[in-house]
Amino acid sequence: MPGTYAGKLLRINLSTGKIKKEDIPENLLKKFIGGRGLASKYLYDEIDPTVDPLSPDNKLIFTTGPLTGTPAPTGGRYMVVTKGPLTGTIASSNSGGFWGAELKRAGYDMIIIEGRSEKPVYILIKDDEVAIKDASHLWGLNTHETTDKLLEESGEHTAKVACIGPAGEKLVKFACVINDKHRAAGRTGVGAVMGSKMLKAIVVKGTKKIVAFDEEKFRQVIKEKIDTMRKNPITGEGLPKLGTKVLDNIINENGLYPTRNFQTGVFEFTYEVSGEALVEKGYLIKNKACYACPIGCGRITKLPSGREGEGPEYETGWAFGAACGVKDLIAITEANFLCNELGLDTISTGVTIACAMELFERGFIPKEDLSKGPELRFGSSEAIVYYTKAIAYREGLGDKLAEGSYRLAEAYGHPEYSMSVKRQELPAYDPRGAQGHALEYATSNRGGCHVRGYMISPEILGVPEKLETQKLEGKAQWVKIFQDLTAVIDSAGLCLFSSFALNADDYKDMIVAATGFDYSTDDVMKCGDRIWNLERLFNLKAGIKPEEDTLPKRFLEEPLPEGPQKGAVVKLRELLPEYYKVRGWSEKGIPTEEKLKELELE
Amino acid sequence: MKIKVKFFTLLKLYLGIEEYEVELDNNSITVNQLLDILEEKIGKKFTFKLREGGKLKKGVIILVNGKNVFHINGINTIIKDGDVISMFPPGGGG
Repeated sequence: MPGTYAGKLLRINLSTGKIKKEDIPENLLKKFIGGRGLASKYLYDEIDPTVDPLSPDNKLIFTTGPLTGTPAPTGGRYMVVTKGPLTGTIASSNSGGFWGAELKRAGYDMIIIEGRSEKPVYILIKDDEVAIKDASHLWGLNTHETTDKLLEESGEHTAKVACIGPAGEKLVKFACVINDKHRAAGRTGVGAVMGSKMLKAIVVKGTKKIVAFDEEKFRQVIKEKIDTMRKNPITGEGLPKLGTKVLDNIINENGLYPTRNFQTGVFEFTYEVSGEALVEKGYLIKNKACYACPIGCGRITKLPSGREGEGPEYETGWAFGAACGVKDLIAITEANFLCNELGLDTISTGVTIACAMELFERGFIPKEDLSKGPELRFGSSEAIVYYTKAIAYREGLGDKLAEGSYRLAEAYGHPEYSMSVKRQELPAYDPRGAQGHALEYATSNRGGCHVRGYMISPEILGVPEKLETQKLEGKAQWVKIFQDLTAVIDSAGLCLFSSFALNADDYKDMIVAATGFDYSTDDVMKCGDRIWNLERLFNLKAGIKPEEDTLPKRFLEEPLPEGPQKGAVVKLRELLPEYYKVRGWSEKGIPTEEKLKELELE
Repeated sequence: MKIKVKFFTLLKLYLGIEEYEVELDNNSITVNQLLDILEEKIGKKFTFKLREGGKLKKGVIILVNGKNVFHINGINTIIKDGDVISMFPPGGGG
């Protein structure tokens, strides 16, 4: 098997209890790299895309890339790939920490979970030994309690744990998988799929050595890339010093910091909740790095109450902050801690509460539906904390909120107030403020998402070069390149943040030295294109229509009401046809036979 | 003329200053001239994060009334009375 791949996958059927180890064909690794790409290929081949995501027929795949578990900078990433319950699309969710590297060291590139157990179980992996164990005593526990108990009873105190909290058990449509207590495969509801299989956790202990195809060359290449990242002002200074919350003021001053459920792009209390405030108020204790990461953007924080945890990150701070009109950094951090403990995606949780606030303030959610809960008013610290808990346990209105903003708003007759794409909540950039980023939202294969082609980088941050936010020319091509490159990074097992400093050539260098595959940079980018198209094919077969490549009406019709980009709306009608064209798809958004042939798909 | 300069992220933390008002006899100055003035008043630790070889460093964001100077006239962008200038060293996240 070439280089840093383990070359094996674990197939575990929870209905039958059968555990199998299989070889992964080398030609698949070469075509799909690993991680997101490889798992998408297995999912595409093995499940009917129209399957109910929460049925035993869906499969849940945990996957690493060729650089996961190696010293490559940020090489600690793994992905969870499945059909998502929030969107009905292919769902793939990425996480850092240490769990992915441990899985690779145990000798597996991937775990495919099938079927459904009758009672709660967890999976224990110690290198070649794999067992399905009873987890009845863990059902109902939060992710921290679960992790502590499993480390204790497995007798492997240095093992790594990925698990779900009560939200996953209750099939909250945006429940996440939490590993190492604080890192989340956050988006698309992968935790609900895990819960539907009655799988509480996967504990891994690995002791094998990962050796590159050309170890000497690999070490040399890695050293070069780490050096590039250390010297880069973003990965070497901005992100280490302020974490992702370096962005609050940048995005707000540029007028696209979504406020009060995206009604405007400027939040007047940003100074109270920004990354700078987190430092100045003394809540930040220290930074924390994931496996093999020279950046260390994680934040360990402690509130005046003595409660300690990780976060908030930019997205989380915003989702509970500006999106809900809340300026109380303590309540925001508390809601973040709760999401980690209960196993909830912070973006969807915050934005669903923001949607409920708008529905309530407009009189569409009647007061009696709140049961004993506080009023859903923008700015309410009490509401964000209360409803986060209510969602995880599906209590009172929490049961409706647990379905996500789209189904909530639809149930109250006003789906237009759900700020989502393909039913997944949008993250912390108002699309009216960056046309390329808007196109990325509309076309993301996993629904509303900023990390499938982060156009904020060129449009706002000026990396790798500055593009004008409102110009349309060339944006479709940029989006395609960013989407393809991101698919490569996700498949290689690296963190997207490495791309602030590294380019496609850098990724190619690392993958080639690790695997021995004779890729050119163009070959690697073609893998990205292939992965993107395969995900698109899955979605089309799942019944997701190209008409869903769109945005909420608010962004297409209501101009930004204030700030430096006042008056802007998303010009999707002009952007989308160009995008389909550069993708080599038909005018209707379907990959052409010619394109699929070029990519050796089908 | 009177202008307001707002410092963010690492600049704010390093300098311990959030806002700075500059009063000048001129009717207008360029961003480059403003950087010279601020360097004189605040010190070099301020500009080395922003400027290199007479150009703005890659990823530096300077906004004049919310508009990125990159799309106006870069470091030679004109600043007038009453303008608000926001300054950020390179930053990223997501």
